[in-house]
Amino acid sequence: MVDPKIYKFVLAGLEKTFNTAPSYYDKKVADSVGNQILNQSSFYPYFIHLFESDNNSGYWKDRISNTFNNELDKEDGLRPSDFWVEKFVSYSSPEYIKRYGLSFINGNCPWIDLGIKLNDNLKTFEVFEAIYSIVLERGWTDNRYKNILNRLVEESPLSLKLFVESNLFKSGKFGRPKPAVRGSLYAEYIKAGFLTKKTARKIRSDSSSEASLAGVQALIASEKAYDSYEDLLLCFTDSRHEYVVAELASNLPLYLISSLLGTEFSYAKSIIERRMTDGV
Amino acid sequence: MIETNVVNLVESLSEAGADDNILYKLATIGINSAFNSYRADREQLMQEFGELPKNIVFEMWDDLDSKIKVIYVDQNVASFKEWLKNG
Repeated sequence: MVDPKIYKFVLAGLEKTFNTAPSYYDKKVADSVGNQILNQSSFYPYFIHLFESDNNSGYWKDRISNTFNNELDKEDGLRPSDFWVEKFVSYSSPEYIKRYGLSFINGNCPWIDLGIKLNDNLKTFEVFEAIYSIVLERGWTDNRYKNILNRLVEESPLSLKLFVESNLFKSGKFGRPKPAVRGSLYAEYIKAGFLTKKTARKIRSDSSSEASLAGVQALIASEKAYDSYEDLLLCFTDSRHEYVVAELASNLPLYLISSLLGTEFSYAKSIIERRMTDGV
Repeated sequence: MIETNVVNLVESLSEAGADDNILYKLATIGINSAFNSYRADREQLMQEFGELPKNIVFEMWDDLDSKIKVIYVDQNVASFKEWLKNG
């Protein structure tokens, strides 16, 4: 056992390593010592002390969760022990996310990100709804929203189908989102294989060029998911958005391109002309 | 954090089997960062560091900031001069 005379310095070292703003010195020295310690159960009393004294004023949650988030991205990175999994998973409950979701969506609270990654029994739909309600107010999307949307599609595609159909194609629980958000939902809905002629026409008629284009691009990227792919594409040919028609002009099979010949959009016309001349 | 809590907390780490080398490394990080900080008890910490037994400082020496090494020598100048005198 070490001499008790150094206890005070040990604690100062722990605080420097885990509970202060990161600095150049940390990158050189403290971070490597920190990584050695994180999963050692003999240091858990210190980490328990951090959790117990949690008043959201320290740096420790940021530093430790950022460390694990970075390590999880590495193939052979440090994996959190069960101790950490249990601690961080508690930050991924829908209730916690409702409370701190705005800060999370604004790029803070990396511990929520870590909790979501580590939680094998995440209440994905409730968490998605909590984040969606914030994105709805803000009007634009970001990676954290996209990550939870992707996870929802992966784990429960039918929930996404019902959500899109009841909130975008009808007036549901949530108000009408901004174009970027509508576009992201259309894209996932289409990639998951749920598009029908009826819903294709609804996306075609979306008042936003951005949202409608996201739908067409997703359909073009999901050709194999649909037996009636060409019929679905043709639902978009009378779109009133130039970008949508131009996208179709570039991607429709040549034998269907005649369906766009009546278009008034000059850019789309030039693409059609070039493709018909080149025969591709 | 009050003094008794510091002692209890670090003692519990030591009792839980924390590796002595890691504890010395942490202590070194602690003193190095205290020296470069504006913390209120900086002077007191440096004073206490100067009073640490040589065998403890020996464990930390390689990773100490060179300015702190000078401070330690200054605070233990009699021993240092004795060592010089004896060649």
